[in-house]
Amino acid sequence: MQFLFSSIGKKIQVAISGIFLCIFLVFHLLNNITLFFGPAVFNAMVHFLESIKPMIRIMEFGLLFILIMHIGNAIKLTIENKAANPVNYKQSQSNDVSSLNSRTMLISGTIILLFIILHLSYIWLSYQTHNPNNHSETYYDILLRNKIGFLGHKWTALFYVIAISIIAFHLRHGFQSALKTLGFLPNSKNNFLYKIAFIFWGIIPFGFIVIVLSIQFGIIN
Amino acid sequence: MQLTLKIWRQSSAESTGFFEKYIVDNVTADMSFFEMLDMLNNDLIKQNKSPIVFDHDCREGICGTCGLVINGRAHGPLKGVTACQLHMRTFKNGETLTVEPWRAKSFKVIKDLAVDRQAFDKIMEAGGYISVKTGGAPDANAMPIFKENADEAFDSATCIGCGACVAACKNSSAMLFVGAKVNQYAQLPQGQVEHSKRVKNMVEAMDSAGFGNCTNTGACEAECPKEISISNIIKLNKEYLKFH
Ligand code: HEM
Ligand code: SF4
Ligand code: FES
Repeated sequence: MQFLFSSIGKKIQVAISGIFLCIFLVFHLLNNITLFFGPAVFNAMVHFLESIKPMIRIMEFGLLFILIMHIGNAIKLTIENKAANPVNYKQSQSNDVSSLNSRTMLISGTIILLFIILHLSYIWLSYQTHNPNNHSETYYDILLRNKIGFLGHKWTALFYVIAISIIAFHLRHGFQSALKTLGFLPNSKNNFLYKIAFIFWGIIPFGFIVIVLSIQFGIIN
Repeated sequence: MQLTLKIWRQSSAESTGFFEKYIVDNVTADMSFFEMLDMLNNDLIKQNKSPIVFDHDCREGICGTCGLVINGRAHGPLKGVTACQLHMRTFKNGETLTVEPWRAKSFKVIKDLAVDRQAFDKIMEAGGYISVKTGGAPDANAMPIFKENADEAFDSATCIGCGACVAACKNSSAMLFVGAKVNQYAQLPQGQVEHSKRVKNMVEAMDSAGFGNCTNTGACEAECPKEISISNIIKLNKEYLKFH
């Protein structure tokens, strides 16, 4: 218990939950990529997820728990850190010694949280309320033809691109920071983790942006 | 050369401070920053004004007593140099320099630029020591140590406890200091007696002294005059996971 609430304990909670969120993003992207293979593949994927619904529900609760663990500890860390350093330097040169990303994690995180809430209320909720078993339409129809989740609108696309870029910005610092917090040395045998960090802050967010733009420009239709 | 200095003046921990402007003439490039301050203080004393208080002792970059923030940079703009080893050739004629004390809740200003760093002593009391047998000093080479461990312990041991890491950190975290100490002892056979308890005790003392939580911004490593690497923090985290 004392472990969890110590400075390093809180850091470790943010790091572990952050890494789990990153892993979630990988699966999320893999799911979305099925959109490129047309309605049949996408619908088959959704039906498969439907068929293991209880497991998906458990995973959703797990994810919610992880998100709360991440946000709760991150906010606590940031408040304590401000309290530990109440007076700013008159002529701060923080840009010379640290990155903007690393100093604005709570701001980027808060924007991500707003995005998550809007994203879920548009897409996840419309899934729950439009059960295709009662309709002739499929999930693909709901999302892309009827545009329930506001997909395909230009303002949605813009908002998504900005939000995903901010996730990239968060992870540019966050991913390697989590590795440090968990004790992985950059010059040890685990150094490949640092080398693949760009997958998490670069390639994966880029993948999401490609999907958003593909929907916007009718490549996915 | 001539410089304009804006120096933080604060008469005691309780009083509110302010920046006072001084113009100093006849600064030569070979003067150290502190010699320049000495010269200014001599003038102030002659004018019956109270001299600027700043911490210093060895003036050789080895004791860790000195520390001030010049234009927002702990120990001034140079990498790997303590404030006492900083020379005026680093600056240009006519420049304005803002000089401030370390800013952190755990380092209260005593007077002007001098801060109270007893919080570091509290952390050292909690685990920054080793148990040794009393008696005659053992032969220097009696205890075999791998070269890599000796080198690493030495690198960590170069920390002079100045507190620039805390001062530079936006979170006022002391983890670079604590990491250096923990890693230094962890590498050496002499450090093994308290090994399993050291990290927990030192982190506990660090937390209760009111230092913030590290978020790996790297400002500490960039400002440390002894260039202590942030890998000391990674190792601190590792030790903490192992020995909790
Ligand atoms: C897609 C969602 C998110 C992912 C993948 C993610 C990932 C991460 C990772 C990997 C870290 C680094 C942990 C460390 O430094 O040890 C981190 C740190 C942080 N996250 Fe997130 N995060 C997400 C959402 C959020 C949200 C919604 C918030 C807050 C409202 C937030 C706030 C923070 C803060 C303040 C930190 C800094 C803590 C530190 O630097 O130690 N994050 N995040
Ligand atoms: S780690 Fe560097 S900056 Fe921090 S106290 Fe030691 S020598 Fe000073
Ligand atoms: S006065 Fe000793 S290190 Fe600067």
